[in-house]
Amino acid sequence: MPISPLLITASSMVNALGRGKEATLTALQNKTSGLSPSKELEFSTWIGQVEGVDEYALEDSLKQFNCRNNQLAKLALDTDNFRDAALEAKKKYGVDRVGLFLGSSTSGSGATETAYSQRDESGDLPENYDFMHTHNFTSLLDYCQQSLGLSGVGHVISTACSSSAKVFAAAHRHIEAGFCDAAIVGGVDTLTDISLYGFYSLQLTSTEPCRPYDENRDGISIGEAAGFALLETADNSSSSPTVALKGFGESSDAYHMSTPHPEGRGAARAIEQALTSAELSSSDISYVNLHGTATPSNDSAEDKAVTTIFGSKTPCSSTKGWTGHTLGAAGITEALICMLALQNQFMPANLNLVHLDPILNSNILLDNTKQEVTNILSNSFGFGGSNCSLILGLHP
Amino acid sequence: MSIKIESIYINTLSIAAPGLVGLEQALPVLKGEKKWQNSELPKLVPQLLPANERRRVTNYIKLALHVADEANIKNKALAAIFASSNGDLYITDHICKTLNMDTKYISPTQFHNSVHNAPSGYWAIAANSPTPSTSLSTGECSFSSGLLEAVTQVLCQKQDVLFVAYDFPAIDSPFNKISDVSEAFATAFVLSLHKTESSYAAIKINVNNDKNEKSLCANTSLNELQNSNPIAESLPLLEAFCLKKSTTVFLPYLNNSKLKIEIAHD
Repeated sequence: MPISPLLITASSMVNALGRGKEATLTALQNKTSGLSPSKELEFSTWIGQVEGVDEYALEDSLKQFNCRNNQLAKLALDTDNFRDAALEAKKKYGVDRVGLFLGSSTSGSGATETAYSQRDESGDLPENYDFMHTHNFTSLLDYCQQSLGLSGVGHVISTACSSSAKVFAAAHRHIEAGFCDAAIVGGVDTLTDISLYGFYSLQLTSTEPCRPYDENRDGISIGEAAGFALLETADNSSSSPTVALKGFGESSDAYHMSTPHPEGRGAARAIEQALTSAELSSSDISYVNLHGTATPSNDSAEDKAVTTIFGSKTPCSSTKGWTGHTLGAAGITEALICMLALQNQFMPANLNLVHLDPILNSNILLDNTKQEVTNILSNSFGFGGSNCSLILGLHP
Repeated sequence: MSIKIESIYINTLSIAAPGLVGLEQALPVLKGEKKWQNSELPKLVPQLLPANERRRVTNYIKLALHVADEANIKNKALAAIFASSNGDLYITDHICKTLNMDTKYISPTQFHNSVHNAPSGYWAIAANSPTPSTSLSTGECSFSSGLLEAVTQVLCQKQDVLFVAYDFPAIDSPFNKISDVSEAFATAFVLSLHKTESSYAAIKINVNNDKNEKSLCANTSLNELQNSNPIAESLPLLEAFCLKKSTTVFLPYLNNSKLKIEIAHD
């Protein structure tokens, strides 16, 4: 079903490339990866870590929310003047008319990992451990609402690695149905032992920096990130041309819990629906930002979905060689990378690619490319077969 | 851009909780004809799940699949919303214990079951449903935010939506002492723009910022259950569906606001 566009009128991002959009843009343009070898794990892998998170304190009045995930959320709220823009929106629309839709796969589960290491002799968790304000998914929403002083509608979507792509769709529906007038979407995920050792147990982590679409790709590099975007309806904003959410598509694989459908069936469905909702055809898409995790199965399934719809000419790349796979924050992180690509009229390379896998047929960008970019498709696929594709483009 | 809030029909209903397994047992209690009596929840076996997958799922996932299956009587591939406050605390407990052992070897199955959308992933496989599914949480008001998301999908996408809400207690784990879930509770229903012969009610929904008190169960014997699980906050609404009475129900929503649900029977 066609949708009306929503303008991204403010945004912020923090990831392994640094703090703020400028840091991410500079790293993209200089082809500098944010990945580094992990030092604290029992196995060898590369991670995309954000510096200075543990030292970044929450507000005194919100200390009960203290955990690395909420600290990273605050770091992003305080970056790129996002907090000022959120407060402006609050003034413009009213405290209860700005929705907040956030994605996370980890939430503050790191706090639970720590609490379990501090159990007493009877096995009880330490008294200062506060599940609801840290690990429960609502912790991220409650913290951000209280930090920004908002009291509108919202929720936390947790659908693994599609979480913070699906928040764009949820925000759009809540605005269209009249439950809010504008919305902040975002995603926050932090490095936790659960996800690091979990992906390792599935033999999905690489011992090297991840190499999406490479013949010798052997797994992901896990990263952490946070990002936020303020979405406003086109008739309520004066600034133009602006990057807009033009379409979204969601689907389920209905195939396997941790492996994508080998023919990319669910992925193709999400892409097709995104195109339909944006009223665009595949030839209107200048560039595809791939999910491109660098697992053998993801890249091969996604390649089939993308080439079925776009053929082998549309430029594509995965940016996970820069940021790592930021899981529940991947959707927002890559949507904002697409926004930077639109604003700066360039397409990022597929970093770390040495030998393009000859059985993959997508037109993978070997280098950063300056070219006219009008509309971008961004893919996010997750465990449980949860797929979401977004279309961002210049508006008007 | 805003669309007119229309009436939405509740076309099926399923519930699973101690003493309320299936409509046959639940209806007399929800209609106020019988007192609620706590009795152990029987083992639920999700028949529609392939045997190889059935072996891998936890009681939390089984509870969600049970009500989803019962509510989705026509077995159509519907878009689905899955709401749960805490996720699978049994899995969280196991994984966190493993991470404190000498070798931190997490079971691969437990890891993929640890994602909040595990029940929805199994549901899609079981129902062979390629349609989208969203899994969400807002803690103690997870039922309300899930219902709101379901309503937006019905209104904006003009499609029937399956809504599934569930939380399961963390038995035999340190969470047991700190969790707000002491009883299992799950409910599911299909929301639609179209009335059918078996429609329970029509609802209109809005967020109410006046500080109304949350609704309590008409059948006061259910008060204990209502406070035993975040999803059981739905009980006054489920009662209104079953009583076929036009009324307004207020359910807990974010920041002490309430979701105002007007229920009509025509």
